[in-house]
Amino acid sequence: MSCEKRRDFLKLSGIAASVVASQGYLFAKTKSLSVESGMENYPNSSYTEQMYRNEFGFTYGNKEEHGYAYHCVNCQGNCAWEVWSNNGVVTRENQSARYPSINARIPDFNPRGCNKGVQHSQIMYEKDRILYPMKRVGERGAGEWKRVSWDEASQEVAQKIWDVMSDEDKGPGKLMVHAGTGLLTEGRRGAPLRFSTQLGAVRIYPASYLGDMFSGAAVAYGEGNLGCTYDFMYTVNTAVFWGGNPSVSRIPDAHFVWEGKYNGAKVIVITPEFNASAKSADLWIPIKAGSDNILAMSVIYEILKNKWYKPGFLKSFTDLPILVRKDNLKMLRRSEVEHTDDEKLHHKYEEEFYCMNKKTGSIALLPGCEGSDIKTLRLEDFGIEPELEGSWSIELHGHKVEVTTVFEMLKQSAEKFSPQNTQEITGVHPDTVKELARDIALPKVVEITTGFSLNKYFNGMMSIWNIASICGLTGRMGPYGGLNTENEFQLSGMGVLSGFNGKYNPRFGSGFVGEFIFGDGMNTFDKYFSDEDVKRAQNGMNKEEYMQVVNALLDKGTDGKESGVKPHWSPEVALIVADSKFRRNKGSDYREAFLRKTSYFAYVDTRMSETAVFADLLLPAKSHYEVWDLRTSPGYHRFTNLAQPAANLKPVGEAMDEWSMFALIAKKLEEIANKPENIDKAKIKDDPKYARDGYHDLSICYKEFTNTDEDSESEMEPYLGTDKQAVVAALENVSQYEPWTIEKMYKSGGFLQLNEKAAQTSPLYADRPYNSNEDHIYKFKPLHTISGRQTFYVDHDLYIKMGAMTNTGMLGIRPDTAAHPFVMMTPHARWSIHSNYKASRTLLRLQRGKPYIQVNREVAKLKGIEDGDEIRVYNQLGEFFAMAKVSSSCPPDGLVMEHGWEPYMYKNLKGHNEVVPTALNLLEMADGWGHLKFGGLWDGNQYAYDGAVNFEKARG
Amino acid sequence: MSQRQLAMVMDLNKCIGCQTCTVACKTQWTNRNGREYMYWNNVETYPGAGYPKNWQNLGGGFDAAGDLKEGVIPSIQSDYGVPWDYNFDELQDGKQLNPNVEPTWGPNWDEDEGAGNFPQDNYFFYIPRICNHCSNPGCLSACPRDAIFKRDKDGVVLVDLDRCQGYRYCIAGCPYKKIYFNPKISKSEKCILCFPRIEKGLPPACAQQCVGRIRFVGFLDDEEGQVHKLVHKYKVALPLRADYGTVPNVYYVPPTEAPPKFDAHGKIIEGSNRIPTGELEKLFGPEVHHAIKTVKSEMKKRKETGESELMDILIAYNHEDMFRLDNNYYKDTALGKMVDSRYSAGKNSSKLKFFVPQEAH
Repeated sequence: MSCEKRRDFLKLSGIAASVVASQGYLFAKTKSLSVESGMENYPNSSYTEQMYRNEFGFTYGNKEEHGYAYHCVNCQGNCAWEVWSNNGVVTRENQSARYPSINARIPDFNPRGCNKGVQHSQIMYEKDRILYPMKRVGERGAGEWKRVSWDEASQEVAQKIWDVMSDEDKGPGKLMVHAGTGLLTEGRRGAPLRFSTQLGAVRIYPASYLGDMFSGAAVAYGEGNLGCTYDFMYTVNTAVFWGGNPSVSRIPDAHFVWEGKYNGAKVIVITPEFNASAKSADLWIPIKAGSDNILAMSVIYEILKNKWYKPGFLKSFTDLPILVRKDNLKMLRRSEVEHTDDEKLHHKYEEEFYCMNKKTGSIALLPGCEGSDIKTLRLEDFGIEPELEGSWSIELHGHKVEVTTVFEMLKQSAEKFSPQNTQEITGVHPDTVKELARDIALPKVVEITTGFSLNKYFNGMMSIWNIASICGLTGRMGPYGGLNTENEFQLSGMGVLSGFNGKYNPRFGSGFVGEFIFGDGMNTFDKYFSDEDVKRAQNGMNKEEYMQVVNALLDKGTDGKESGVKPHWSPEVALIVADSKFRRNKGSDYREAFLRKTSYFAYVDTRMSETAVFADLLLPAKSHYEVWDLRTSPGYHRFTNLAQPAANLKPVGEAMDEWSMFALIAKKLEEIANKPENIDKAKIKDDPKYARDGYHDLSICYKEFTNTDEDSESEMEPYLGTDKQAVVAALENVSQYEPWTIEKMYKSGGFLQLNEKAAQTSPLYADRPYNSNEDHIYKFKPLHTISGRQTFYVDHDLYIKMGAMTNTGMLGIRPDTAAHPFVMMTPHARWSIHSNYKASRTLLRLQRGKPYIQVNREVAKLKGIEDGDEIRVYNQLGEFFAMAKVSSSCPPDGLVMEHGWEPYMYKNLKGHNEVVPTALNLLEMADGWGHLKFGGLWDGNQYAYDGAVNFEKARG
Repeated sequence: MSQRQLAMVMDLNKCIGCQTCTVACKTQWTNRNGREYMYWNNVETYPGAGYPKNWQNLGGGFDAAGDLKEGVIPSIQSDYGVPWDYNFDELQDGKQLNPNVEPTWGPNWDEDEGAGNFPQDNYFFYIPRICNHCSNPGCLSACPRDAIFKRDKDGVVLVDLDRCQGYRYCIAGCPYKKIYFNPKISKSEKCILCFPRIEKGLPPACAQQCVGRIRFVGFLDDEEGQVHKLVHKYKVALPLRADYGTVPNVYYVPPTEAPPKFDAHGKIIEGSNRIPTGELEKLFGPEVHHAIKTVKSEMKKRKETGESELMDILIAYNHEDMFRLDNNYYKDTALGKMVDSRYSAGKNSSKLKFFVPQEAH
């Protein structure tokens, strides 16, 4: 081929044309070498080859110096990564990919990881790292800082803690020591938790304020975290992802879903938007946003109508046979039938229930209830065969009382939710509902995964409860599948890091309520929601009454003074770790309110998050590749990963691991407490609920923190105070880790395999995937619910008032107006873990470079918006600006935007939560009933999808 | 022709569009030294303009007579996208975080957008793209310096950075636009199939680190290998735009899986598929019909009988088994010892792999 011809075909476009080599330079190099053809026997290959080999060699470094890590910043992935380094500098990361296969016919867990983890090396040296302790010298948020030493910084924090704790009018309840979800690993997180517990400081439940608490599952099972290791997905007949998008938000595990499809599974995705999981599903159901609980009721309707339920299962393993009084809609309790003066016994009787025994034609006490002494559900042993259907008149202390079964109540409730009736609300065709119901009810193994988006709606609790009830009706537990929220394995002994053997106990505040109070949420609520909205969402209760009821509950919960409601405190001094709360919280008033209420606020993080910008003191933390750590939860797999820094790693600024940092603060606090003028006040009084002996002894604060105090020494408690000590202590004390050591974990590729003691409600078999609740159906073990069975009925007064004592469908609270006709959905992101990694240059270049939001193609046309245009999204609460991404995958009545953008990434520093209201659902505010008592299992959720918005092309 | 040809198969049914491959490649090769704008590996959403923008319409490749076709060199600003940077150091000053240039295009600009009417028939799927290491490379033919060559050992196509003068005919000549101009060194660079990793026993970063487990790597002549079986035995893996005439060595299992469409009343149209087969034919040629039929019938067989070798391969029980490298094939060229022995199951491997003491792993 001649040169002329080559020139002919070459055409240049745009700016490149001006910089292309000019023709005059063609073949300018002196003839060094004659090349026949590059197709074979190329004579000069080694120059290039050697160059690239050297580059690879540089990034790879020495195998012996590699570290191990994972990237669990409220990411639940938990993946073993090998961290490559050269001369003490991290070069890149590569998955370890050494998890053993548990069964030759089931895909293994390798290589795990995702697009975020694979670039941590690129952000760990980024310029937004906090390198040194920094003290604010200007106004909050004004960006004026002074670098201080660790000595000065820790002294200041300790003094502030001392001042608030030793003030008789304030005390521990005015101090918050809280670790956010930027730090969710068991090893490092132990440090702030330990310090918080030791001081009796306030902390709140992250899952709740994130809107990630599976409250609906907790209602059903007495446990929110249940489900399977993800390899189970490979074995199912039907996999339903309800409000979930595993290909985006379960990246390391998604392959099991698609491999399961090759293995014969039917994959069903139910989401308002068309997404990366829907695109490969067997069935995608485009549901109208927030109507999931209603669609679930239609599925229940179909299952009931077609009698696809499993009566044997219902009788033994659910509360459906339990008798309900028709007069007051309460379950018939033993305490009503049998009187006792013994208070303890009476309380037990209140948690025992009856069924109608077919064999005797009379009522029978069910074994296995919470109050029962009999801890089995094996009805046969007691001659009981419960009736599921029917109404009876029974005699109660001389009065006739009409009773029926929970099952009858459920049937009655489901009656109005025929697929025809709900089609307009859900947008789902009745035929599709039938197909869905059939695909869930009939096959052998069906797993329904509920996505975290469901809890982001006001009635999300109801959605998950209803879906759990679908699983219950169709007998889905253990090997037959069931509800998959997020499995957790059992780790006993981890308390050795954060606990004090009962000497001190954590002062937990409610997550969703805590943030609501902190941010003056009621103002936002009042400003935004109308009477009509509240009535629609709370069974006709008007706004005024709703606010009264909520305010009364909030009042009772102040400073944890009453039980049976959500407790909350209002701290003045806060030491917060890795929590981008000014990004996360909803509405436009949170930050202002928080800053007004806290007189001092120290913040620990690796990078300048939105929260860091407004802190009074910044303490630099180490990032994943610089620390020793362990991570087990959640239970998507059966491995615990190790973080071990690369050999001879050069420090990043003066970043410190959390254990060393909190030990340093404890040391300063102890010094302050031991000053002659302070020593008399060093025993800080507190309720015995939080301090067994009635006080926190700050004069031995450091010794207690590090287990070098007398008590701990005599108990042979492990020494604590550095990240590595925490790892060693955990490995020695958590029985599920036996017999592993750091050295063995390193040699295996940066992980250990949990032993069989990690099992919760099913055995952890050596060669089978795990799925919850096998013990329930095979061993007849009661669940941790009031009835010991799967719950279909809650007779809490508020539930009765809301008409929600059994599964029902409830409309959302989102205003339905022509002025703001769009729902804004902000699902979990492919490109960040919440706000973590959101600002990564590497990742932003693979997106739009700044905040962007999906707009439906047709709607964009109508509004005169083109792809790439800046749009203004607004409602009564506020506005924000983002780039329009015009998409066929976005529903016409919605906007879809991956969440997690820090407000500082937006024009005017106003993030998308400016248009998102906040609210409290009475069904989650309800407390003090059976298994629904405030705690890690039962709190509530902050919602995110209840804002209705409009948008327009931005002017100017 | 090279003595042997390394090849890759990507299963588009399993691709989740996560871009772990893209970033793995970036940190391995292109986060430095004038390569910042390059994506030797990218994943694009189809339908869409792709990366670089509208690459399918930028010419290159060969005509029926075997002559190179005219081609266009894309522009960084409008077609690749400028690799914008940020004012990270100003965050501590309370400033807005801003890209230093207004983003107008990038390697994943049309992510997840797709085409069609929501929700009746809209669709999209992902296509990861690397250099095809063609048997008849357009870039090689276009180079006036003859400075592009195929390695004899494995057919990897490389630019001779010693002799390249940066004329960029190669860019016009490559119909996939998978060769790039490095403005810093004024030479062309491209995906090198991670040959330095392969020589040391590690599969290419994009493949070994693929968490969707969609990529198989091996020598085409290795008849026991998955690559050979998918390409030649089952013929379910097809080259992208074979009509360009470059004979690519990267193959794709076409996306056979998509949910059914809805009619105007929201009713499922039974048996329908959102992905228009015509679109797949454009990408993968007429052979795509046979490939789809084979995948579908093997899926059915698997569902009914539990058996199917093809499904076994695509499922890939062990991640290690997706790669069949040879542990002693490169020993005369590569310096130093292998860094990994897990992926060496190819036909020229010493079968002593399993008896090597732990230390050697």
